[in-house]
Amino acid sequence: MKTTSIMIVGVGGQGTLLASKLLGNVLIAQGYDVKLSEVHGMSQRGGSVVTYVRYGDKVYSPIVDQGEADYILSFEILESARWISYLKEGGVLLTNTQKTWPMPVITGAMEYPEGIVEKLSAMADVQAVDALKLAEEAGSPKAVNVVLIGVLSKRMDIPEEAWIKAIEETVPAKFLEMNKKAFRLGREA
Amino acid sequence: MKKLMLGNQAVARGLYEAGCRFVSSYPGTPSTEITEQAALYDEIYAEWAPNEKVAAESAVGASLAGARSFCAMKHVGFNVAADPLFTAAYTGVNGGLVVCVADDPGMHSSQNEQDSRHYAVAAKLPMLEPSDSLECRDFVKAAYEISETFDTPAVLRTCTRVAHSQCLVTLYDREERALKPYEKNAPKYVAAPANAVKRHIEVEKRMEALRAFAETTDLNRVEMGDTSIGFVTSGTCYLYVKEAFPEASVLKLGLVNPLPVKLLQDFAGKVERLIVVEELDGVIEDHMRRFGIRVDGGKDLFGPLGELSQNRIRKALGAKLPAFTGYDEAVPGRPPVMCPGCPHRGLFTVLSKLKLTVLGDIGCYTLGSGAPLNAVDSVLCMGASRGEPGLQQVHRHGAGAGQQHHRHDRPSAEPHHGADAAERAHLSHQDRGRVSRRRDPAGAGGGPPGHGGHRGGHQRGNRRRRAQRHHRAQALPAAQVREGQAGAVHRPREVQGLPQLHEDRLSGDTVYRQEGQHRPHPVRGLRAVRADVQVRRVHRARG
Repeated sequence: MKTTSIMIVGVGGQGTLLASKLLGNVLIAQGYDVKLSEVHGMSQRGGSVVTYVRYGDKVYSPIVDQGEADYILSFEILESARWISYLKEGGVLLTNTQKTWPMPVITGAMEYPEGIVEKLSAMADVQAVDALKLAEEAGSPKAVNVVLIGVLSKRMDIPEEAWIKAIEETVPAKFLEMNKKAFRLGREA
Repeated sequence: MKKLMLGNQAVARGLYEAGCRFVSSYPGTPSTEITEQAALYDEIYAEWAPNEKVAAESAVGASLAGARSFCAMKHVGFNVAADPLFTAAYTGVNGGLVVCVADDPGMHSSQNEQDSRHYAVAAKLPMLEPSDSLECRDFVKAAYEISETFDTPAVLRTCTRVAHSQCLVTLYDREERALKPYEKNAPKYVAAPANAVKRHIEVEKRMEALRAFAETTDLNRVEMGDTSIGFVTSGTCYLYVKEAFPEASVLKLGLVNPLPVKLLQDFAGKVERLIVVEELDGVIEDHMRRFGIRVDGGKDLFGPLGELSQNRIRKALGAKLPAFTGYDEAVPGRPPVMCPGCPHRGLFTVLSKLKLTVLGDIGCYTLGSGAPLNAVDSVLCMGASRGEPGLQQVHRHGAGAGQQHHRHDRPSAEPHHGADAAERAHLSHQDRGRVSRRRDPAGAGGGPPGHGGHRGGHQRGNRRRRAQRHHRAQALPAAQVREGQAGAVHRPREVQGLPQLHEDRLSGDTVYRQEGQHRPHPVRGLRAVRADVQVRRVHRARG
């Protein structure tokens, strides 16, 4: 099987790393060769973060380059605009509509761009979801990552039980029910 | 059992499986998780040292005591550890000693992108370079074999993409190793000139033996495919090459110092076009050219800057790039900022308000240089904020010949008047640390260096000290008054130099939510375990 590339992008602190770990666990359980790549350090401090997930029969490079991503799973709409050039032709952008102002906007040096979803929709296959609202509905705004994994799961040819099992193995037991609900809400979105 | 492992986690797994007992490191991205993960194995004693030099010395000590030992650092840490390690190459080891150095091409979280391979060449140490997590584990084991076989510290070189990527690693059991007996051996371990002269001969013999080893070791691997193009590469670049040109022939070098000669010659003879792909400097390419081995493309194609990727390799060789469309409007950047609750936010805010020259330090403190704090003037390396006395000397006194040199915390000779003098008085009394009043080196208060204002300082000393006493009580408010506004009312919110935040934006729901998700880094305790007791007992037995 040809290698499939997924990018998970967002803002430091949004839980993108847990999402990539969960995704990695699902893919391993399916018997794929899997590679994940992330950058630690300064990017954790509220900066733009990106994680690459690649899977297939045999994966070489751990990173995804411009025009190579089959899916981009974005936790923040401005980050979708930032990374859209990494989407391959025919790729799918799955994006949260949540906005988190970066420092240049907070200080007034720049304006937060308007109409990003509309613009991106004209460029690619885009599904925009208010993951924050769904996460709150599930019980915690922190579950945005699992909601978005739910959105992604609908697009991938992997049985629902496999995702549920990976969630059970990845999240702490006391938050399990809430996360399962978040996953379902994302999957149905 | 197979497990998805971070490169650093796999290095720690390699340590465990190889029977390593002692780890002493100094943290630094992208090397930190190795030691954090090693500390989770009860069989390994792991500690954070005060710096890389101490870490390396501790690891050498544990090796002397007969244990397989280890130390990890980031690339700039090797600069600090170089002193003991260059000589440890002479003394050799007792228990195997592996040093891991993590480079950061692209400078994801570093102040430079120096290429550690030069150190291996300069220190005459064998260096292994894994390309993914699986190799991280395997190469640690191989490095211990090399260390003990050739009686030398061995260096493992990773980079950000290897350290912070994950792939599947099959887990094996630990091979327990008895401590090697300690023998007092001054000619080997006492690096006095008379001994070191003889040890240098051993170093050169060892390098000769390692060069022969490099020709045959399976750390270096030839994968013959399409012979119209052949790549010589190592580390993460191997993966990019395989991604971009899966059919091509590849010579993958796992041992990057010393490099083979015949192996490279043979490979060059089998392919029509030979391309060397390496990040940062052309270490492999220079080696090949020195031995007259044909190179059809290398640094002329890829340059010495930053990380490579599959697209950079495709592009350099004129292969087709994947099509893509970028967003056609400017996207505001999202630089990292200091965590909420970080005490440095307040500190840098005050420093910025006071318009001080701030010699900062590395790590998160560099964030004090960005908007909205804009407080930091210089960041050089860990500890370089101690450059302050030099800056003070020149700023306050000029550096001209014949100038009386003052200690920076003694009264200066500049004329003093109004708020400016009060500020200086306050600072000279209170801030003996790392800040000095920001002003033109020529001396805004006293004209250019050598101007009358700088002379006669000693005569004015008493007056100066009186002024200091007088202003001390009201020093902080005075310091916040701008020059030329002596007597102005203290208005902290309008202090020049501190960009006004759009507070209405700060109160946005999403911002607070995002901030709520940040936590300061936990302090992670490392546990001393039985292995530690064993190692230390050996030390004690030797007095």
